[in-house]
Amino acid sequence: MSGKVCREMRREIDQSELRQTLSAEAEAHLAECAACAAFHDERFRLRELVGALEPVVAPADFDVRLRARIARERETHQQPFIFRLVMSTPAIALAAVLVLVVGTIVFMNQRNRTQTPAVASTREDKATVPVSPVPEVAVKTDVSPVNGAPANGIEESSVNPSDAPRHLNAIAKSNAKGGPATNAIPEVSDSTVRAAQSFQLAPDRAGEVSLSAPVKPMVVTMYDERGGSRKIQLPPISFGSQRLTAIARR
Amino acid sequence: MSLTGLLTSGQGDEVRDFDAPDERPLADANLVDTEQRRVVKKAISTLPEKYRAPLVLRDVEGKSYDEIAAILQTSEGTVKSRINRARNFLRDKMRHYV
Repeated sequence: MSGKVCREMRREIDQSELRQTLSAEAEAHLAECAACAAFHDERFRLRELVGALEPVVAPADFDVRLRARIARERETHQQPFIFRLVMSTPAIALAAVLVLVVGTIVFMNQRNRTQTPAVASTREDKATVPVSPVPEVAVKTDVSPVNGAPANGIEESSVNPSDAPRHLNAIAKSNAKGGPATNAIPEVSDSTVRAAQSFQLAPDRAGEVSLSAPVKPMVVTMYDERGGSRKIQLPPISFGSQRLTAIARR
Repeated sequence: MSLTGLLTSGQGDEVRDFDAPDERPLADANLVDTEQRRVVKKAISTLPEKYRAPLVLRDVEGKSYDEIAAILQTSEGTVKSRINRARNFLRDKMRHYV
């Protein structure tokens, strides 16, 4: 049996309907050619299997949904380019990253701002008389120390040690006068949180400085008229009344 | 003729046996058919799109070659060729079932 005849017969088998009767020539060929007969049986079985599947039927509202979707797509394409750009996924992701970065920066700034130094510092109160720190904070020199020697904790930086007794802290003066004026003491909060308002100039007493004792050690820098400066480290007072006093005054 | 009439005798006293044959397919036959359909679906889904569409339109939907050519916007010869190739693919994939 020639291959050309077999190809012709197989093409006819392939293109025929499933249960269609073949031509007489094809039937005669199938009776003689076992390979073509096997091909016929195989194709018949295969088409039966595939034909047993249920055809996919579109739902009843398919047409309506399709038209609605086409209309929606058309509206989307008619929107301005800038709107589509803003509403796109990369733009939203970029905005989210931007917000994250800005939030991190703000958080870091806030965190640095709320951190307090290990040693409490003095600062002028805004409510008091604004004075420049160098001449005004300079302490009166006519008060003598207790033993005629520098107090414990006094560090000289640029002044002769013999002149140290002349530069005393205002606390010493105020203590000598019976303690600071009660109306001059600002409200003191916990110095680990806020170190402000621990230093104030009394407007009615020239040269008198009132310091509220913080919980942490305080370093006071004093300047004299010759440009010298001294640093005094004041240890924290441990009897704990200053916190109670501050709370009571609120 | 009513079912009651078949079950009763002419006098209406004697009840006769009526054994209707159960022509439903056997349970295992149903199982085999279901399994075959699942395998055929799976095999068809693995065909490339250009072969799957004409095969489904021809053997499942029962459409003619010129209809398929119009749907797929291609020539009738291409449709015949693609269907033949699709059947060969399926035959290879379902060798144990055909």
